[in-house]
Amino acid sequence: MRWKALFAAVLALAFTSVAPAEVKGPPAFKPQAIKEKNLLAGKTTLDRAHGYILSSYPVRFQGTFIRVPDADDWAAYRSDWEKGFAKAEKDYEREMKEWKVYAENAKAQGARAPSKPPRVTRETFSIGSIEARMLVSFGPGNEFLKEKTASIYRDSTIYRYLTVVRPGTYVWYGPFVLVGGGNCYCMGTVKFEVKPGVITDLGDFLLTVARYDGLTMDDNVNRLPGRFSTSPDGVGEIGPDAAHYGIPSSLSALPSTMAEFHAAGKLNNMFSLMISRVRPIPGILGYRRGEVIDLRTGQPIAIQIAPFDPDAETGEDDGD
Amino acid sequence: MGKFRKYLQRAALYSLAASLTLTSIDSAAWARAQSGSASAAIPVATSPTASTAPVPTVPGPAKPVGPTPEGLDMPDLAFTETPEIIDGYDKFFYFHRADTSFAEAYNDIRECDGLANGSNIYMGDIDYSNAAMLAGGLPGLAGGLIGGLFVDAIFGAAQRRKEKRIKMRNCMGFKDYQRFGLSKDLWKKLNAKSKKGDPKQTPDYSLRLRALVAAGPVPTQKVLPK
Repeated sequence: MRWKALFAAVLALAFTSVAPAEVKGPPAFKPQAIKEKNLLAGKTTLDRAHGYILSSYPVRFQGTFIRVPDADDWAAYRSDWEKGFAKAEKDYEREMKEWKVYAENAKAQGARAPSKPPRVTRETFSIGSIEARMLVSFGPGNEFLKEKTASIYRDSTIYRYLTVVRPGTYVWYGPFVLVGGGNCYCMGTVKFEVKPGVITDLGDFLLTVARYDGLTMDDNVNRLPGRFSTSPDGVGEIGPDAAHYGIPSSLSALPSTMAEFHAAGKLNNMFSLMISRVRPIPGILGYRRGEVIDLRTGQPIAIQIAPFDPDAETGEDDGD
Repeated sequence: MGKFRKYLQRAALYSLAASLTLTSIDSAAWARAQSGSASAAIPVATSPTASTAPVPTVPGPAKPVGPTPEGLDMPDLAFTETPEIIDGYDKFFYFHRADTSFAEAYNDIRECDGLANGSNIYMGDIDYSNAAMLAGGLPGLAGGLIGGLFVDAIFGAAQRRKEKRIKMRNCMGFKDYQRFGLSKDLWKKLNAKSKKGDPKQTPDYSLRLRALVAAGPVPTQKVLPK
C-alpha cells in the first residue's frame, strides 16, 4: 500500500515537472524592418494579414511610432495588471508582518519606529504605461532600399524604410530610436491608419511636413529665427502637399495607399527625451495655448491614449 | 574614451543601486541585520527601562495642497540688473502669462515639470503627491532616474540642467507663457525645495509659488525670447 502511494506520488511529481505551465500559442508578432534583397530572394514574404509602413527620405532617417492599443492590447494589459496587483498585495501583507515585528522591537528598545510600508491600492498601483508596449521604430540603418534614381532630391538618393506591423492606428512619437535618444513629439503630433494587406506610404511627410517646433540642445540652431511657430492654425506653415510619395516596383504585390494624417493628442515622455511637438500643419494640426486642435474637426484632443482604469467596465460578457 | 565612459556608466549604476538599497531599508532593521542578532525577526521581552523610555514622535510628512494659493505670499522679485545677472538669464528665469488663473498655471507647470522629468504625467488624475515629487525635482520614473544618472556620468550635471531648462522653455513656450529673467538668488528662492518641518512649505510649495508668480501681476521687465 505504501509502495503504491509512493509510486503514485512519484508519477504525479514526474508529470507535474514535465507538464508545461500553460499551453503556448504561436509566437507573438513583432514588428520588424524588411529589406528588399530578402524579399526578392524569397527569404521574406508579404503577408496580407499584416500592415506595412513605408517611408522614404533623401537622408538616413529614424523614428518611433506608438500604435494606439486595441481591445486585445488592453485585455492583455489588464490581465498583467491584475497579476501584478495580486502579487503586490501579497508582498504588502508580508512587509506589514515584518514591519510589526520591527515596530514592536523598536518600541521595546525605545528606538524610533520604522516607517510603515506604503499600502498598495488599486488607485496607486502601476505596471507602467501601456504605450511602452506599443513602440515601433525604424532606421537609420536597416533600410528596405537605398536607391540612386532620378528624383526630386538633389543628389538623387532615396532611403526607403519598410516595416511590417500589426494593423491599427499609429502615432508619430518622434525622430528617435530607443538606443539613441532624441526628442519626442509629446505635446502634439500626427497619426495615421495602417490597414491589413496594404502598404501605407508615408512618403517623406515626417521629415518635410511634420517638422520640429521649439528649441533644441544646439545653441546655434536655437539662435535661428522662427524656432517656435507663431501660427496656431498652421497658416503660413508647410502644408501636407509638400510631401513626396512613391512605391518601389518590388512592392507591387500588395496594394498601396498614401497615409492620411490626422492630429494626435499628447503622449507621455517615457524616455525623458527632449520635449517638442510637430509644428502646426494647415488643415490637419493646430494648437491653442498648448492644447492640440484637430483642424479637420476644429475640436481639441486632450491626450492620445486614455489612462488605464483598473475598475472600468470591460464590456465582457459575464454570462448572465 | 570608450573605456572611461563605460567606467562612468558602471559607477552611476552602482551608486544608483546602492542608493536604492539604502533608502529602502529601515535604519534600525539595517543595524540589527548587521549585528547578526536574531532579534530582527523575533520580538524581545520588554525591559522595564525600555518600556518607560519615551518613543520619539515624528511628525508625519506634510501633504501637498494642490492648486490653491492658500498660505502663499507673493515673492518680491525686484532686483537691480547687472551685466552679470543679464548673462545668467539663460539659466535663471521665470514664466508669466496674462489672463491665467492660479489653477491653470499650477497645472501647466506641473505638466511641464512632469514631461521634463520623464514621468507618466498623462496617466490619469494623479494625486498631488506625484506633483510634489515632481516639484522636488525627482524624476518620476526609474527610467528617468537612470537616464539622468547616465547623462550626468557622460555629459555632466550641467548638461542635464541645460536640458531641463530647454524642456521647460519649450513646454511653457508652447503654452504661450512669456519668459522673464531673474537674479540667481531670487531664482533659488523661487525654485527651492520645501523645508521639512515648516508647515507652510508643503511638498508642492515651489510649484505653487511658481504658479502664483506665473498667474500674478504682469512683470514690468523686458520679455526674453521663448
